[in-house]
Amino acid sequence: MSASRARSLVLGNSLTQGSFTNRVRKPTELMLVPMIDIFTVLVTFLLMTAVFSRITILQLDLPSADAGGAPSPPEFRLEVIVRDSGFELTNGSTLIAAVPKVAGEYDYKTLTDLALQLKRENPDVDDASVLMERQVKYDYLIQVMDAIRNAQVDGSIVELFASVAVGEAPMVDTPAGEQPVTEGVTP
Amino acid sequence: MSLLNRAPPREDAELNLIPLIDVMSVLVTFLLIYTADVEVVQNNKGVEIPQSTAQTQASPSVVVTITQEHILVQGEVVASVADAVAAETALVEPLKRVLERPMLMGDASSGVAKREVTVIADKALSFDLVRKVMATCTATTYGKISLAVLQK
Repeated sequence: MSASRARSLVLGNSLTQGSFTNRVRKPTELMLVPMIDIFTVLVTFLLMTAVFSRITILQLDLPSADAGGAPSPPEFRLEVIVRDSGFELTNGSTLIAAVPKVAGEYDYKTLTDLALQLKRENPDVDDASVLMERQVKYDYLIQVMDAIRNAQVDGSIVELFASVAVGEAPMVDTPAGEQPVTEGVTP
Repeated sequence: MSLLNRAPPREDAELNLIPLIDVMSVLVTFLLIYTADVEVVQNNKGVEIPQSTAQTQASPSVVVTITQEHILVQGEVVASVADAVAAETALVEPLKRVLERPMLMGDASSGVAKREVTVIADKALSFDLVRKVMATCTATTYGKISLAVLQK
C-alpha cells in the first residue's frame, strides 16, 4: 500500500519535474550584444575623459585689509628669503640661518629641518613668509612653501607653518636687520 | 573511421560573454566613481604647473592662467606675458581692467575677503611676473588668492 503510494509520488514527481525543466530549457537568450556595445563606448569615453592628475590649491595668507593694523605684532615670524644663491631664514628682524645651494640645487631638506626646529621652539606660531627675489622661478616658491608647510617625522606628517604669505625679497645690500620691502603681495 | 569519430558540428557555437560584461561593468563603475567629482579648475595643456603636497580641493573661483606667452582670465586672453614683464607699472593694467568687470566679480554683496582667484601659472615663469599678477588681483577687490598645483 505504502509502497505503491510512494511509487506514484515518485512518478508524479518525475512527471512534474520533467515538464518544468522542459519549460525552462527553452532557449531564452538575453540580448547581450547591444549592451556590450554601449559598455564599450562608455568605457572608451570615460577613459578618455578621465583626469589622472588632480589639481589642488595652495591658499595664500594675504594681509587682509579689514583686519586693520595688526593688533599685536607676533614675537616670532618665520621668513624665508629665496635668493639665487640659496635660502636665508630670518625671524623678521635677524638672520637665523643661511642655507646655501647644494650642487646647484636648493636644499629643501635642510630648510625643512630648520623649520621643524623653529616650530619646536615656537609651537604656537603658524605664520611664515616666503620672500623671493624677482628672477627666481615660480616653481621654487611652491617647493619652498611645501618645505615649510609640512615635515615628515617618523613617517607621520607634521604641520609646520601652515599659513604662508608671499613677498618680494629685500635687496642683498640692505642689512639683514631691515624690514623687507614688501609684505604680502599687496603693492 | 576518423570521419565517423569526428564530433558532429555544433549547432550554435556561442562566445561566453558574461565574464566580459562583468569586467566591463566593474570598469564602468570604477570610472564613473573616479570621474564623479568634477574638476572645478581646468588646466590647459600648455601650462606645466608645479607639483606640491597640498591637499586642499579647488573651489569655484575666477581662474587666472599664466602660460609661457599669455595671461588668460577664464580662458580669455587678456595680455601677453612679454608686455606684462616689460611694463614698468607694478600692476598688469589689461588684466586689471578685465578683473574689474562686474560680470566677473559676481554679486557685489559678497565681501572682498570672500572673492577668490585661482592662479594657474607655468612653473618656468619668473616670480616677478606671478607677483605682478597676484598684486593686480589683490588690487582689484579679490581677497583670496590660491595657487593651483598638481597633487603629488
